[in-house]
Amino acid sequence: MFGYIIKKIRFRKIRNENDAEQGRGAEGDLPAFSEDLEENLKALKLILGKSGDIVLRRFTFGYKNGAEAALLFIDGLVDKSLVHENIMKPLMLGAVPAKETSEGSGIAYIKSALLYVGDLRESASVREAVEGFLSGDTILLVNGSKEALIISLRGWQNRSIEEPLTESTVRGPRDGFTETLRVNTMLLRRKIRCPDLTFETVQIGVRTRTDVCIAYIDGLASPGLIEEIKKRLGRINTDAILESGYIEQFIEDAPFSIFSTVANSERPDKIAAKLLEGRAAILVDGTPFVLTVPTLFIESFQAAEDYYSRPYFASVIRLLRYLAFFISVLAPALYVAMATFHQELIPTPLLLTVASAHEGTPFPSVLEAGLMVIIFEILREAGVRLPRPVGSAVSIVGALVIGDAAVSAGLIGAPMVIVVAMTAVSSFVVPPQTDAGAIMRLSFLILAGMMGGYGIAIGLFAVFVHLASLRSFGTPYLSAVAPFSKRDMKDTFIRAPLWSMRKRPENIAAEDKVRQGTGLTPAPPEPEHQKPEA
Amino acid sequence: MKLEKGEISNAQLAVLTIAFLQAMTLTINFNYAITKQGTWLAVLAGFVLALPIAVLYTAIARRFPGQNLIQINDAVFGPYAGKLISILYIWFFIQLTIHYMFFFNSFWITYIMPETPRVAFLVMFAFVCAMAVWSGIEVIARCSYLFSAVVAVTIVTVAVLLVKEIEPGNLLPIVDFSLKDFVQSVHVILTVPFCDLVVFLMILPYTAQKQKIRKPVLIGVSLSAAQLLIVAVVSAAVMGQRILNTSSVSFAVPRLIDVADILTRLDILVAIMFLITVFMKISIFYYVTVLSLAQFLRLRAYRPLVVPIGVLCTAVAVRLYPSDLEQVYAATFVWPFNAAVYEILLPILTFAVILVRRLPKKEEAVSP
Amino acid sequence: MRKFTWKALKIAACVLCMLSVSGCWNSRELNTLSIVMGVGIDKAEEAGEVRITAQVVRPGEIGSAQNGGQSSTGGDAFWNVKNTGLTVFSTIRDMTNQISRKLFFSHNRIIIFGKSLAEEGVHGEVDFFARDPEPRSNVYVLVAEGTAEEVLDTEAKLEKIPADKIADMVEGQTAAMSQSCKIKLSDFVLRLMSKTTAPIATMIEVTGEGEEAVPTICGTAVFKQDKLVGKLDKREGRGLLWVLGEVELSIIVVDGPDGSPVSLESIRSSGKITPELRDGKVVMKIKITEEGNVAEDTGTTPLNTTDALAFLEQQKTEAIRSEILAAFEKAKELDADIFGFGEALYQKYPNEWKDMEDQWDEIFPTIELELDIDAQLRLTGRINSPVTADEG
Repeated sequence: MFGYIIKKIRFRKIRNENDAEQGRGAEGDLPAFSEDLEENLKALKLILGKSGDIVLRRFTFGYKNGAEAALLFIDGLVDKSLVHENIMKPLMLGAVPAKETSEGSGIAYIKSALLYVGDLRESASVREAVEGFLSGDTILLVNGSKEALIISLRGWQNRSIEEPLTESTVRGPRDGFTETLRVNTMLLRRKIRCPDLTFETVQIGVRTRTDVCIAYIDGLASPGLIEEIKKRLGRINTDAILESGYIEQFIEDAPFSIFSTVANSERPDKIAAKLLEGRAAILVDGTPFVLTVPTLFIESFQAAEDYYSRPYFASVIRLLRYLAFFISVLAPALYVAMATFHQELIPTPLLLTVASAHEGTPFPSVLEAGLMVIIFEILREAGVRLPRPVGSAVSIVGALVIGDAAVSAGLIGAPMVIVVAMTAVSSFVVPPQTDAGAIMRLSFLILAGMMGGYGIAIGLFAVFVHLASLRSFGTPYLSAVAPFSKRDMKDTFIRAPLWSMRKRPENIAAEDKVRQGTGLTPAPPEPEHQKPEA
Repeated sequence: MKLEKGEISNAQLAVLTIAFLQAMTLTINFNYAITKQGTWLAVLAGFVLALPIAVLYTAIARRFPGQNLIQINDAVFGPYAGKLISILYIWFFIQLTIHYMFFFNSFWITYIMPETPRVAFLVMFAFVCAMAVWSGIEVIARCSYLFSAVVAVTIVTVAVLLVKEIEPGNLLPIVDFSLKDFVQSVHVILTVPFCDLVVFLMILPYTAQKQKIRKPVLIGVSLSAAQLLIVAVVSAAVMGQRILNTSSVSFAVPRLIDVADILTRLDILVAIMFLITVFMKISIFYYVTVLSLAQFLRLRAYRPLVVPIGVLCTAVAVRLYPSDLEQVYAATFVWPFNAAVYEILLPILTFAVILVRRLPKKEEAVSP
Repeated sequence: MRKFTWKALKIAACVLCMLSVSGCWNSRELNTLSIVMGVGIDKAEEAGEVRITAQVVRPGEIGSAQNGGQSSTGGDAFWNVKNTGLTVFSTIRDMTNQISRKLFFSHNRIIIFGKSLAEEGVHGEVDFFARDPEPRSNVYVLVAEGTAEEVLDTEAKLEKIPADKIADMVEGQTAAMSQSCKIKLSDFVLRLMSKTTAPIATMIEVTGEGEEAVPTICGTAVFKQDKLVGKLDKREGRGLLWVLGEVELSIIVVDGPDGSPVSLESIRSSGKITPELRDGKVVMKIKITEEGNVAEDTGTTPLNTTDALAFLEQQKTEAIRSEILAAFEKAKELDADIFGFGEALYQKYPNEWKDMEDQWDEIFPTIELELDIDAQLRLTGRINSPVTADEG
């Protein structure tokens, strides 16, 4: 028996090692450039293969010696007019002193004197050149030089900056992130012109080599947080990073929880505000969704617009959001619990109406509610996927006809339709929690069907205990409520006036907790002297 | 090797105390049979007597910062007697857990869902408590913020909604019971709710500032006593003489709320409020049981014990008393004496020995 | 990963088992309940048995929005289920032999005792309603002049369900006229449990015949211990309510300065009982504070003079005094402490009360009343003088 166990353990160990090996990718080490142009080109052709979009341009330049050079770039990733104007033209027209060419320091001279390009570097490593090449840089190889010039003249078709579809506001800036990393960092730079704003880029994903950029404000974000993020990003050993969601699922604190501990957004103003509170943002090339950490539960209820309106309305709307969230999660369960277990709780006239509506229906209440919730989820999903021409037809059919016909046919009671409709609409008020909310809705429904009000109470406890035990990158998930922070209360259930929010949220910023000075309450100026009315 | 790696701040300690003691609003039902409408006097007296005892507990804890009860017992009484006393304490903690489980179970089942078998009820409850205990004291402290706030708000709201039904005359005559009854009532109030604080001796070592624990605990005790006072006064004022005949006053009182015919039938909300308070209490008892057992057996972590102890407690709690009647009798006449031994006598003894032996000696200030 | 899938499978299996064996023991679908709105308890022909009439709602006929007004199938919205048995609860449960759904009492609004049953004692029948958690304690208790069954059998004219109508009548009557008491089960039980205070209940009778039969509130029933001993008519009933401070709105008709009746509307009133022991005699000082308006003048004298108002206030005070005294006389006659004097004494003089408690029946008729009535008139309405051409 022991032999069996030992064999199993050994088998597991070997298998794990093999898995780790696989993820590393089959690259091995690449050689460095040689001085011979032909050799370099051959090596590069071997690595890059024979794709049709790789452009190789050989040319000679210089008067007397006619040094051979080759230009490599990928058609589509490069701004070709700039390549022609700023690389080929000066090279072909400009004069290179003989001394530089023969001594093999041509590259240095070209770099310092000839090219009209702002962003270039030299490299002796083939790997670096290839990586740059695949990202859209242009490679310049000169015969006789051990180094290649990697020139960044990237330009590709980009989506224009437009308001994000998923997060629109009534008042506020209408720009949104796009799929290009550089555009996103530009948008952030425009919001925060502080020298402490730092971007640290790494490349993740063996085959996609996606640029992932950590943004933070040096001095506000805690160094431990940045360290932790870098550590977790470094641990990722996967084939492809196609969207920030991939990164999120690799670095999150609680992969088995239904609540997400990493927030995302498409709006630069929202991300900028979070950076200014001391959080860190993770931008991923290829997607407009930017992640922020650490994330708190109450953040789902804070919309960007809240801060652009005045406090009264913003506070009321915020309270409304909490109410809507509770309705969306608990309404079907509460209805079922009251109708099947606690009929004494319903006021008499209401009970009579509900009873009469329930009279002819064939299903027990739980089943009715469950069916309606599932149908609603189906409709919602279909609404997202369907092509636009068909859109309105489906929504009309779905919502009106099915609901109405079901009631008239006596399959479902009218109050149930109302409850589920309310639930459906409320579930969109708090967008970050839509998916967690859907799962909770079903679970609470089942619990309510099993044990009524007690089931719901137990479910609430379980959810709350779970939330209380979550941490997001070191910060407790329910910060501001538990552990309680009096000054964070100004931004939790209500939105206190901007001039009263003096300090940054507790638990997040490392140092420099003070946001603004005192005495900022706006007031009209004191009258200087009493002037009699004319 | 530190068993519990979490730490709670002093503010969290105060709130934890409040949340823990709020279950008093439910257990006070036992008193109404003894002192009828003068129960609030007993509450006041109990509160006054509980304060020095709470100070006693914190004093013991302060002398041995970072050491929980089992370790303190070892230090104070020596290795053999200490272990014996620790076993007694562990036995007491288990009793507490089981008794409270049964008590709450019977309360809810009688009034809300009579046909449900106790097992189903208890299993779900124990499961959630196990979740909380599994996550550690920090999580329990974090939960206590929201829960204690909700309960406090409910108590005040119910009191306000009942203003219409209050007849101050119902509170008269104030003293309608003999001295013996009064003493018994105070004894019940003292031992059942207030002095359950003795279990905090297992939690106090895990606070952030180990010397300043007296104030948070006292604040917690005072605030929960205030809530209990509100409940006692309002219940007596509203129910009047019916108190004698009602088996569960706390539940009958909110049934009378009737504001503009809309806010009626709120008893289930109050029942859920009780559920919250008992959840906190049982979680803490459960946690303390598991922790002390793990400490006693010198384990490295307490988590493996969570499920076995939970199953054991649930299994016993299902059939603890044959009927409601015996439970009320036990709670009023038997339990106070049982509890007094562990909650009052043993701590006093411990402290006396501490003073006599002048502990902790300098070289005995061990690290946790 | 393998370990995890195995664990997940085990948990899933446990959960599935749990879901399939658990029975949702307390779950009751709405269409398995029959909602009871009113209960009538009468004496049955057999000795020692009770006859229960339960007025049950028929939900299909209630939905007014869907059926557009009156019930479409033409049936009543209610159904009276009747049964006879030994005790209340067993009779109610036995009704499942007649009705397909279990009776659900949480929304019950009234309990009516038949007269003959009330005269024999009701505490046995009340017990079920006090003990079981399902019925609520805010149901109204009434006593029928005849049998409860005939009261519940009357047609509903305004509402859909007679029990609803009766409950609303009890409330409305107190709110508008306050001549009969309105008592909830919790208070009724309180009075029943007291050794000295007499329980009271609203008295209801059926007037008219056949199609025109309507239940009408006709007074206040007085019990001694738990047996019905007598009845207060409307005047005496209001006298009782003045003392208890339960008069809400009411109309007092007095003679105006020229002899013709004037209606005075009472808006607000409160009553306070202060017991006093004086030379071994029990004296009850009752202070009534009342406020009202002039509502109707059938005479020709203008009433908007201070003299007229003072005269009317005097009349009102006299009316209130006479009503209270009439109630007290009746109570003395029945030897039933309907006012709660005993309780008041207990609250103030607990020690002396211990001795007096057992002899309360003898002491009660010897109580002296000291009435202090403060009646005010505030407004006189839209017109100054009566609509007549006569002057003065």
